[in-house]
Amino acid sequence: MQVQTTRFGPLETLDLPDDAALLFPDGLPGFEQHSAFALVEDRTYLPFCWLQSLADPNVRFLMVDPAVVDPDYHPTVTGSDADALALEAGDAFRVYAILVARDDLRTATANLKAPVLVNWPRKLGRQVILMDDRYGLRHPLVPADSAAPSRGELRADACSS
Amino acid sequence: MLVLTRRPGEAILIGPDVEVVVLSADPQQVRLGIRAPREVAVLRRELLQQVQTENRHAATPAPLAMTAALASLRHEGRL
Repeated sequence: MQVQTTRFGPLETLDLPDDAALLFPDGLPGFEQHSAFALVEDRTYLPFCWLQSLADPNVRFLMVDPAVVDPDYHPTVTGSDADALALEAGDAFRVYAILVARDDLRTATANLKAPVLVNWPRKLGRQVILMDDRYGLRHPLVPADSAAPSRGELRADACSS
Repeated sequence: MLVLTRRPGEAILIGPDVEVVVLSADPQQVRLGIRAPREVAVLRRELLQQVQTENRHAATPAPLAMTAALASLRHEGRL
């Protein structure tokens, strides 16, 4: 399917596999009217990818595999969120964190408080606000201390095509 | 907006399925207990507003130097 995006500023048209289309029945907070999205995954930019609204090329979200920010990040889904995603206990789901990046990817922050969860086989998505107080809206993508350890093996299963 | 006054220990019923109980109250804060079915989302309002705001900040063009930033992050072993 063809998808229009302004992910880098200028309008571009992407050729994506049909299975990249996702339904977010409740949209996203702040974008409640947008329910049809495409997951834009490009090997060049892994572990980053985009959630692109199909209704407006200007509505797109840069996302990252949250394991890049916190390798121990394993949110659980229950209640109305699990129901909305048609997830049964034990079902796997994909997790992404939306990034806010202004001029420089290095100073980007990841929203670990409200991850984007995707039931990939059912093509359903939802941004879930976690009750867990450990996580905030703005985790630095790159730790402030320069002595941060190397991340080792890249966990690419969240943003892999 | 419907305005009700409750004392600690008293409760409010919203629809057939939701109950809000005032557990305790002092001049600084009120503790509320919520009984609701799993399909009803219960959220502190400011939290939803904060996520809305953060999403609006997020929906802007990605930095154009993304390829270069990615390369340097990979080189540093951060990815």
